[in-house]
Amino acid sequence: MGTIWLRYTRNVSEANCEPRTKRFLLFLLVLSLITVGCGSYASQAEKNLTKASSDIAGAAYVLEQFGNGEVSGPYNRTSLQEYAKSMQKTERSLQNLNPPPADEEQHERAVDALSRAQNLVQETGQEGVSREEAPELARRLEGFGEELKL
Amino acid sequence: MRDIVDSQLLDSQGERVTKVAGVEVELQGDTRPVVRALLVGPEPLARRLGPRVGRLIERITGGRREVRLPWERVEDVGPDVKLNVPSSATGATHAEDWVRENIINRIPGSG
Amino acid sequence: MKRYLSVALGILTAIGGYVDVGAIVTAGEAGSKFGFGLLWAMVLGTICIIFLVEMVGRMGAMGNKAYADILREKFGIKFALLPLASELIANFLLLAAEIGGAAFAFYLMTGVSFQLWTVAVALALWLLLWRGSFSLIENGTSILGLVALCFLIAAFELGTPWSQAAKEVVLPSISGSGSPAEYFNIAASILGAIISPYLLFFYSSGSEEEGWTRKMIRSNRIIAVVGMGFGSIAAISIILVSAMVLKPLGIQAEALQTVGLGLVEAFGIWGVYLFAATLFITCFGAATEIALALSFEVTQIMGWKYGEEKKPKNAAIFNLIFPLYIVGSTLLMGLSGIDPVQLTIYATIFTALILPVVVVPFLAVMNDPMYLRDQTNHWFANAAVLLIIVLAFIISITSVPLTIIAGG
Repeated sequence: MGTIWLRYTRNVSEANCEPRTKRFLLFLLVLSLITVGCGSYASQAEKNLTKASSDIAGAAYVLEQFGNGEVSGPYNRTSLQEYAKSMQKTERSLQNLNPPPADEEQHERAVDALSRAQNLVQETGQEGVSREEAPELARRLEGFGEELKL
Repeated sequence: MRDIVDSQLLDSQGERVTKVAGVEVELQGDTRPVVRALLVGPEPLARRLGPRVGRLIERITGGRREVRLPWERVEDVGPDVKLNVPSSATGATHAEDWVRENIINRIPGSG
Repeated sequence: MKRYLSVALGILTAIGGYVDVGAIVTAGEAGSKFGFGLLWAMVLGTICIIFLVEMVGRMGAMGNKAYADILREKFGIKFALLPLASELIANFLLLAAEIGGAAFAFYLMTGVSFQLWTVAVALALWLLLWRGSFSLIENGTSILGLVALCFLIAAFELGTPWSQAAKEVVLPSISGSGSPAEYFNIAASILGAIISPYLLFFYSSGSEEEGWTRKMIRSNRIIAVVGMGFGSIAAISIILVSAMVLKPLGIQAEALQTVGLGLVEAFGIWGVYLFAATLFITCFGAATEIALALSFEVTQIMGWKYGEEKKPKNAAIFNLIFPLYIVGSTLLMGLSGIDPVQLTIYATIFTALILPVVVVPFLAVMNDPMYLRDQTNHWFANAAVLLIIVLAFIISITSVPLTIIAGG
């Protein structure tokens, strides 16, 4: 008499994915990759500019509320530092874009405004600011934000 | 047989040991196959995942972690398989013992 | 009387434990970018998780072992491996995100290094789980998590137009500062954040540790519906507050500090403190549950000893797994340079992707009379859960490229 090893597997249909289903899913994935991955300059720029505007608006809001005494010192500074980091990333993304010649001047202005805003936010985040001076900084930031939109 | 594999093994005190990874079965002529032993350890488990996985694990462990529990050790078969020996006598608690000796017992507050 | 008390406790625990970093991040983004337009995702997610939590409680009440045990015993190791492995990866990512969220709260309030705080949080987490008892951990952190209801109060303070919000649940207006792709991306992440499969493993282990019996079935149902229902109101309030404060200002909540600004508007100086408390407590609480769930998952599927009530030396592997994961997750969060919001988005989208793989076997068990005897699932519950899971999966798979490219 021999002994036999028994390798035992159960047949569960739920856990099985038919080859056809897998192919369809792959197709969905590729399709979405195509539609999303290729972005024209306009869409990429818009995305980055929206993000930059958002960060500037956020930083301005924090500064303003800090000036009103509604936000604590550390929260203010840490938030600004985080916004500065995000703005730096956005700045680099924008710089890597290649605008068509008609948009070049506008692109340069936007990058410049963002750069100045980023420097302001970073400096203020690192060095801090008094509650009295904060609202004015918020105004300046909002000014840069306006320049981005032009 | 179908129900024994992947069942929980409990020792004589009801403590969890591990789950059954495989069975050793003897075919005796025309009668139904008889379970001779329960198999425990990474090797039999890996073999059930596929021949290549099995070979890979066997190369790593050298077959040293596989434990054969003769059917005589089994006291009761229900939703769980109860053994008639304490877990220390099964030889199937390498992992738990090693972790307890070398890691857990070295940290304060481990009881 | 004692029954009412324990039901009340269960409800409070469910409410307080609902919000976590996933809910905060996804709700903040949804409200700030799309106003009330994504409330439906939150509502659908809540309906699904209510069904699932009721189911897992019923499974435990019928005297069953924990889910991971059943997963292997019913399906065999070969077919149990995929759901379990996906779950281990998802939990790893989510744990890292929760640790990040908790640490970020302290970072915001002190300015001290975020990385150092992740280590501090990890140590606190390990210490609590090493010696704490299951009920202390689960109930303690979840009750404290009721602080998240401050968002609901804020929603009132800010004068939320309730009827308009309710209308948009059914008829969402997809207008906002984001592309349709982004809209569905956030929808997927909301669903992945709310429908957390780790709860299945955690609660089934919990009902075992607490010795649930058939008598708990009705209480369980009440706890699931009322607790998760009201818990979702806290998460929904985050959407409402972000929609009321951040959207009009054009501030997209892609960072945690931004989500807190809504509370500043509503509460003034108390705002940041309430936000930090909410962020830390909810994330820390979720982290304890996820870490424990990880230990349960591995030891249960392998048949090893487990139990939070046991002394560590009596469940050695169990007490090794969650520290290992905590270390790994902390390294991921602290060293990789990913920011917590990005990681949260990845974790939630990944969760949405694997939902069918983890939940379908669960439904199979819930319909198996061998485990549930006369308490198997009603067809409607099966249908509702399946539909929502499939929806979550479809939305997330079409969102994956956007997630990768946009970086969250």
